[in-house]
Amino acid sequence: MNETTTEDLVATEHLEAFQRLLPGPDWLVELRAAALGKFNASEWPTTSEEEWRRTNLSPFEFDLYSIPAASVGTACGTQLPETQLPDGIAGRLEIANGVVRDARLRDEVREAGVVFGELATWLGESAKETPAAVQITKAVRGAMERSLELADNRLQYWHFAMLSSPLVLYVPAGVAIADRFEIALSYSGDEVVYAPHLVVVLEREASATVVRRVSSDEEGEVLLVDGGEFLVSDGARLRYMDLMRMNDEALVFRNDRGNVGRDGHVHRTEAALGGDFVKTRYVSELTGAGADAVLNGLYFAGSEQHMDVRTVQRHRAPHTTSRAHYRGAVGDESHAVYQGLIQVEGAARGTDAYLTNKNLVLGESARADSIPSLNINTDDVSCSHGSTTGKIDPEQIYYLRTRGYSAAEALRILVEGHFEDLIVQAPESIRDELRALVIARTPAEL
Amino acid sequence: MKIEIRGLRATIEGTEILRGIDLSMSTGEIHALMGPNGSGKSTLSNVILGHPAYEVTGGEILVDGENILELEVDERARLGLFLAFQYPVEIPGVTVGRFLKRAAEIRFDGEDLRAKGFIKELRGNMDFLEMDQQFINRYLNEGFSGGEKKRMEILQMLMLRPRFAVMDETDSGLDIDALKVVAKGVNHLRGPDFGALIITHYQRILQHVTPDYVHVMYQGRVVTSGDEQLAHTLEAEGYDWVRQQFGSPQDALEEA
Repeated sequence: MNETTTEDLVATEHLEAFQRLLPGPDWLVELRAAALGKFNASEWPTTSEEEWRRTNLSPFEFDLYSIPAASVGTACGTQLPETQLPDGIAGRLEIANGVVRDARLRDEVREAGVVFGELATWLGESAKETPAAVQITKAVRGAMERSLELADNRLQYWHFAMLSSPLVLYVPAGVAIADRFEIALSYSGDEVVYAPHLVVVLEREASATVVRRVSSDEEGEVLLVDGGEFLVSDGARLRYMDLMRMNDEALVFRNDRGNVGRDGHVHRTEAALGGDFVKTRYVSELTGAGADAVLNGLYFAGSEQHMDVRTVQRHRAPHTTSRAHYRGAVGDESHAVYQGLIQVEGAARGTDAYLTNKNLVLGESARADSIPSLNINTDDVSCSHGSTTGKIDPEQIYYLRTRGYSAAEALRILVEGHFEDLIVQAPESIRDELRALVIARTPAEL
Repeated sequence: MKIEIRGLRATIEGTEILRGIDLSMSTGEIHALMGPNGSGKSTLSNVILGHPAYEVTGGEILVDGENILELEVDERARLGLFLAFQYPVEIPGVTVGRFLKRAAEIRFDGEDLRAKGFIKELRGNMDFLEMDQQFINRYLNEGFSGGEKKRMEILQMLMLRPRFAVMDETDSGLDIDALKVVAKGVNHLRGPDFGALIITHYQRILQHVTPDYVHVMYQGRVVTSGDEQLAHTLEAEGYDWVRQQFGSPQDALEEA
C-alpha cells in the first residue's frame, strides 16, 4: 500500500498496475478488481443508447489520458488543528489533484462520532475493530458495492477501477450538525484523469449540510470521472450543494446515487458552471415510506460547451414525494440536454412527484433540449412534468433600461433572475458565489 | 429640464404613427395628453424614451437644447426622464428591493444610498402609496394584479424622482381607490423639480391631478392645446368633435 511511482500511467491500459499502488482495505481492492473486469469486458457508451443519444463519446480518445503518479497515496491525510475553521463550518476537506491538503473537523463534531475524511486515512488512524468502525466500514462498503452492482456503463466501471480512497462523511444516529461540511476539490494538469468518490452516510435521524466545490486551473484538459453515494436513513435530513466550475477544456462525467429512507429528506442542488463536455446523472431512490427529495439543478453552457444532465426520481415506497427543478441557460454555440425521469414502482402508491425544466436560449446557434418522461407502474399517484425553453423578452430589457440599467446589466440581471428561485434555496453561504458565477457567464449582448 | 419636440415623425414596422408632433414641456409643469385610441399617444411616450422598435423618420427631441434621439434608452433615463408603463412587464427572479436599490444607485450616481436612508425612504413611500411592505421581497411585477403593477410604477417614480416623467395611461383599468393613490403620488412629487406628461384616454385622473396644460392628439399630431378647460370640453363632448374638426377626409377614409 502507498508505494510510490515516478511515472504517470495510461489510464486505460495500465489499470491493473495502477490498482496495485492504491490503498486498501481488502474489500476495496476487490471492488476495484471487479470493476476492472467489467471495464475490460465493456465498450464505451454509444449514441444508439437512449441516455447517450445526444452525447457522443466517439470523438474522445480515452487512451490519451494518464493518471498522475503524484495523485497516488496520501501526502497529508492527518487531521490538522480545527482552529482555523471559520464560523458556520463543522469540517473542511481540501483535496488538490486527489491528495488531501487540508483536513479539519471541529472537536465537538468528532466527539459526537462524526467521521469526515479520506477512508484509508481514517482506517489507518482509528481502531478498526471498534463497533463504530465496523459499522461505518460496513455502510460505506455496502453503498459502494451496490453502486458498482447497479453501474451500467463503462465510465462507471472505469471510475470504480481507478478510484483511490473515497471521501467519507458519516454522521451517527440522532446527531444533528447545524454547521456545514465543506469539501473543495481542485485539479490541474493536461490530459490527466481523476476519479474522486464521495460517500455520505446519515444514520437514523441524523442531519447535515454538505457543500462540495469542484474546480480546476484555468487551463489544462482534466478528465473527471466522478461518483458519489448519498445514504439518508430513516428520519435523517441531508442538504447537499455541489458546485462544479471546471475550466472550459475539462471533461466531466458524474454518476451520483441517493437513497432516502422512511421519512428521510434530501435537498440537493447541483450547479454545472464549467467544463467543456459534461455528462452527469443523479438517481434519487426513495426507498422508505414518506421519504422526500428535492432535486434542484442549474447549468449554464457557453462557447461550444456540451452539457447533458440527467435525473431520475425513483419512487419505491408508498407516500413518497419528489420535486425536481432544473434551470438551464445556453449561449454562443453551446448545447445543453436535460433528461428527467420520474419512475414509480408498483409498491409506491400515493407517490407525489413533479419535475420542471426551464431553459433560456441566449445565442442564435445555441440549443437546449428538454426530455422529461414518466414511467408509472401503480395507481393513485400524482405525477407531472413541465418544461419551457425561451429567449429573453426584449421588452424586459427595454423596461430595465428605462430605469437606467445599461443593456449589458439588464441582460445580466435577467439571466441571474432566471436562476434566482434555485439560488435562494441553496445554502446561504454559497448564494452570492452562485450569482457571481452565473453573471460572469452571461454574454455582454444578445 | 426643458423638452422641445419638433416635427417628430416615427414609424413602426413601416407604418407611420407619429406625423409631425410639436410639443414644448418643462420641469415644473404638468401636461395632459388626451386623444382617442390609436392616435399615437403610447408611441409618443416610447419614442421619447427611445424604444428600439420605433424608427424616428423626422424631427427632433431636444432636452435642454440637446437632441436626445441619438442617446440610448438608459442614457435618456440617466438624464432624469422616466416612463410609467401602461403594461409593466414581469421581471422574474429580481426582487423589488434589489431592482430599486440598483436603479437608485444609477440615478443618484455616487451618492451613498445607505447614508441617504434608502430602505427607510422605500418603506415610507410604500406606506404613502398604501402598499404592503412584503412587496420588497417579491419578484418585480410577477403575479401582481393590474392595480399593483401601476402602484409599483408610481413607487419607482417616487424613489427615482425623475425630472420629467411620461405616464402612459397609468390610470387605465384602475378602480377609484387605486386612481387616487396614483394621483397622490404625482401630487406628492409636483413642484419646481418635477414635470410630467400624463397620457390618458379619460378625463377621470385629471379630477385628481390638475394639469397646467392639456393637449389633444389625433392621428399622429397634436391638434389642439389649451388649459384644464379643454379636458372638460372633451369630457362633455367626447372625441367626435376632434374627429370632425381635425380629421382630414383622407384619414377618415383610412379609419373607416
